[in-house]
Amino acid sequence: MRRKPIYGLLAEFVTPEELLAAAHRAHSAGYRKIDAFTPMPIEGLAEAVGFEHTVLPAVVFTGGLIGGLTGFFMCYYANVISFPLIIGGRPYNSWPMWIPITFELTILGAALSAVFGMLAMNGLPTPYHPVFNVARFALASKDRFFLVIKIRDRKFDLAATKAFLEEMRPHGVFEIEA
Amino acid sequence: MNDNSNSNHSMNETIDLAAVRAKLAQDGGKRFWQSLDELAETPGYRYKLENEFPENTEKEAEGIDRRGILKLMAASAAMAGLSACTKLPTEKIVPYVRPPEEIIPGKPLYYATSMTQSGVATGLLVESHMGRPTKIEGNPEHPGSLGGTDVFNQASILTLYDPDRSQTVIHEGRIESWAAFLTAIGNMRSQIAPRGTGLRILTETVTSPSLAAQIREVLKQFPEAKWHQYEPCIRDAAHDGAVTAFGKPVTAVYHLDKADVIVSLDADFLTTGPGHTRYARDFSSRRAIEGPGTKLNRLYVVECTPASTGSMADHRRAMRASEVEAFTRQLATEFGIASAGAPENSTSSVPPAWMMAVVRDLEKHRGSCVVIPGEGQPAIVHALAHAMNASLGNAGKTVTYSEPIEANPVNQMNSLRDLVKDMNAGAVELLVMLGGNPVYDAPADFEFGPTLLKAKQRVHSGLYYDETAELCHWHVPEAHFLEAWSDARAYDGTVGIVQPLIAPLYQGRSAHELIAAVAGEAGKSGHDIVRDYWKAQRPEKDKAFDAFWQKSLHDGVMAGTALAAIPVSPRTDIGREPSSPALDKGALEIVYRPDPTIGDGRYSNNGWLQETPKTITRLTWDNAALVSINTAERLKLRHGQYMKLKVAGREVYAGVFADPGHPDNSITLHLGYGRRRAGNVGNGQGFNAYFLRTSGAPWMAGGLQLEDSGRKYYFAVQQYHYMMEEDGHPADTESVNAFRRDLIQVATVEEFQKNPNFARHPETEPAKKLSLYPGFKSEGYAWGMSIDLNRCIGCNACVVACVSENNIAVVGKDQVMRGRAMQWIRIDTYFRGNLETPEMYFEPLPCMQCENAPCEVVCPVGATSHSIEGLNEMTYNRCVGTRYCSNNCPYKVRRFNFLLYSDFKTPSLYGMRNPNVTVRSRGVMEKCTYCVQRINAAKIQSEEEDRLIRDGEIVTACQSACPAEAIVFGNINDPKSRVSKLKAQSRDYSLLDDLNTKPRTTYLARVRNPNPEIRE
Repeated sequence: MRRKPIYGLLAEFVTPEELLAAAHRAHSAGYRKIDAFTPMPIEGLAEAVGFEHTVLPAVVFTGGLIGGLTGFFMCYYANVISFPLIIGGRPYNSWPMWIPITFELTILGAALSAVFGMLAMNGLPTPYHPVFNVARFALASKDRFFLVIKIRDRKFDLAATKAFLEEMRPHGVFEIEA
Repeated sequence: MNDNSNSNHSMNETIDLAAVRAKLAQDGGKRFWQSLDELAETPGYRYKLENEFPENTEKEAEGIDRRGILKLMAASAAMAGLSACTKLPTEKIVPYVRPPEEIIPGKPLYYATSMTQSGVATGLLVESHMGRPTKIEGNPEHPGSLGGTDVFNQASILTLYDPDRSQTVIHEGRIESWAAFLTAIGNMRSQIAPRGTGLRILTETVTSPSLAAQIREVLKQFPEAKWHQYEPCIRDAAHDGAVTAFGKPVTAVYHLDKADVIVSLDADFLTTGPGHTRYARDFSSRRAIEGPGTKLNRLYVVECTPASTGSMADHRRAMRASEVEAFTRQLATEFGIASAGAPENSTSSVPPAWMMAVVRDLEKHRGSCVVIPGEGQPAIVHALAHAMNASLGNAGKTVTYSEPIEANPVNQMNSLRDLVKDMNAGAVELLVMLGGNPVYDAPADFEFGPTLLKAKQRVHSGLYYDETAELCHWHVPEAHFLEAWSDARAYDGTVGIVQPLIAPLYQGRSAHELIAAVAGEAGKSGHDIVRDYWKAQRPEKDKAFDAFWQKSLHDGVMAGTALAAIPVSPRTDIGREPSSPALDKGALEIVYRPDPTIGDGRYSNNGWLQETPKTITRLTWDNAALVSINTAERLKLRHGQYMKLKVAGREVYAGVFADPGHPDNSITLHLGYGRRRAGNVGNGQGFNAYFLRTSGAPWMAGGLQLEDSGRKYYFAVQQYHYMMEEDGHPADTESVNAFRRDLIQVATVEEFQKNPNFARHPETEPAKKLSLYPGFKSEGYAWGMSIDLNRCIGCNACVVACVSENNIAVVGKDQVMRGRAMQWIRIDTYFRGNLETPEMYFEPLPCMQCENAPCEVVCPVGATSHSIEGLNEMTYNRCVGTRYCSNNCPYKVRRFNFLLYSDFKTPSLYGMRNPNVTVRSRGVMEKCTYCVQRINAAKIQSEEEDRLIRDGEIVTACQSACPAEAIVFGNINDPKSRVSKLKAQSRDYSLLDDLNTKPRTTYLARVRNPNPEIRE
């Protein structure tokens, strides 16, 4: 019988300190595709699992720029190319008049790219996540702290990794079915 | 709102007149003002200034409700349909197989015709779209017009299409046919045959040679028949004055273009009386200014009721009408016309220095001055004026005399009196009334209504089934002058042809056809009657006559028919003529005047005229008891107080209207209101001053008593709408409103020569450089307008012309009170100086067509924008009715359709509309377009001919109507155009210059020409 594919290994800890220490050890041992689940925020955990920086600002900037240019050229197209009207004795390209639209669309573009960029980069929404296949994982929102080393990690080796996790005396180590 | 703040004008208890006077004195008489409320800064004034559409003011409007009008109009239209309850004949519609000559669909044709007022003709050109007359213009070939028109000419097109017009022959209240009438008149003829005993014909003033010939034919057939004439705006004084002076009736024709000095003795010659349109043209031609060196004429006016002529005066004295005779006698004495009669009321209030200055000025201009007597003045004033003109050598120069233009000059009051006497004696078998409405407008002491019933057979012909018609056995609907053939003499005797533009809309018959029936020649058409008359008169025969007739029809005038000047010299002892009976000096005097917009009442069913603000008072839809501010103060009258006026046992109720410039102890009532059977528009508006008017005192009377009725009357006055605020500061600043903001610019000749640039103010220039934008460069055509305040006489012809040209709706009194009148051009009246004899100024205000238009910037939907030629255009289809544009317009020239003002329902009005102008619906903003339809017509024409539009080719409606040529329109990119030259004058200025709106409409400042000897 063929084994079911797995997503990774899940180690259950009782205290946050244990988890933090385990995360540090796993990271320094060279594991990169690791993740941690806790019922409450734990200071230093993000750094411990190797989270360093985000590209979201660049996404937001690009979104804002596109919004602003859209706003301006929409006005420009309407007022200069498509339907030129002389309003109040001004030249067709009377850009100061368009600043409100340009500004508004800049904000809109930036805001939308921030929201959707964040979601995308977080991989949200995620309707299925394999960790829930482990029954005990329900405790992650109660009083247990979990560390996951994913199978995608280059260093991952089921037996070796399992042994590595066991070393840190977790409450238990589980294979996560994918 | 309480009573004080919502009353629309002065003389509330809240107005402190002493403070107002102090304020005026403080500004050294240089302050311009529009109303007492403004001077007193009453809460009501602030409210109106700040609120463009004062929603809740004067909500308790009395009188007509516009929706009511619509309902009634629709009903009357429906009834009109019912009147023909027979099966309609099968009618086949066939398109033109061979189109009528000259008709190109979509292109208007112009035909010459003439309109008569009190019998005197003004030549008109009528625009006809596919056979429908739509617009009246002046006929440049006609001496009575020279291209100018007045309000009545302009509005006559609405009367033609008025759904309330009489539409069928009516016999004792039932609809009858013309054939039945002919049978009946045949029977009546045989009853009075052979000598015509008891036949009486009553007409208004007749100048038509052919009609007079027809009537004379009837009189020849029936030697005992009599012809009577009566007209409420009676000119007996002119008639009797001529008889007194020359021993026979003559017509005086003034040549104001040759007059350097004019003295008006209570004569409003610019807007009333024969030839007023021509006089306005001649007068204003002497007010045209090329530069500081131009010599202007000088006008002295002694005047009772403030009117156009008085406002144009360089020196105006407000004087009770009854005092003018004394003034005239004093003046005449100075010219050696002995006033040996020593009349008991020979002292006038005029200071001797003033009088002597006038005398010296006249002496200095012997042969180039003229004295003009008013029609409301007694015959002796006319006679003395003739004598003075003769003594000053003016006769034959600035005034010429001719045989009377009237076909049968009589004293009309006596003529009517004879008729009344005969009717009372039971001597009248058959009375035929051609036009006129004597039951309404005959003097009250004749009791014409009850007396009329004593005539055995009564036939009336008129445009409306009016007060007189309902008392007659037979009523024949009269054909409107645009439906009938006739002829009439102009003020100088020139015969103009009245040519129909359209077949009678209803069963109208002209006076010619009716009198032909009386003469037993029924069936002869109006055309044949008029043409045959002239064929018999003219030396040309056959073909030559045909050519002459064609030319006369084309030109609208018969060449060479002006009456020749005849040498007449006045008696030398006119001064010894007895004085008119003196009026009690202490008592109130009552003065009657034809209404400035509805005349003697014949136009009272004309909504355009009702809604036109009357010159100076700017009152609409009403007449009022006009009274001076001093008198109101003395008698403790409040503005709008509803009073009972009693003269010799007759009484009438009227609202008090405080009128700056009105003389003290005198009350003016305008005739023409209080109609009972005018139609749905005119019925019940105002009060009927004819109830007080007697045959002995048709123009003025003494012994007026006032009694408070305890009620308040609400007037719809446009003076207080569309005000331009002086600045954004609190209103208690002591400086001068309009003067500071240069809304109106006035200088004397002396000041003008010293500083030709008085109208321009360099301190407003820097603001122009503050703009963020380079400004739009208009290449090709750039339309602009110049309005010469020195020429504008405030006659309102432009206002009505604009209404007619642009299909502008009538809104009714209630809506006018809410500030929702729709006219695109308004004439602001400004006063300067004290409350008793202020100087008066007019400022016509169409859209300024600003180059930097503030209205366009605020439109959220781009419904108002500029054309490349500089027109500020409204796109009605895009307008969503935010009214932001109107809010942002500093000149307040935008008009909003708050309700469905345009009448889309009445079929007869469809034909009247200009097909080139959209009829606006509810919720749409509208405004002056510089008559864009005329601009485009000229552009299409010029492009077809591959040329540029010539200067003067486009004439806006207001410009073409103006009798004074105050408005000039053209291409300001062409330095040679008239408008460019006018704008290059140093007098040129724009309104609210410092806002950097760059108006295309600019003004030429007023220059007064006061006599340096008179310091007032």
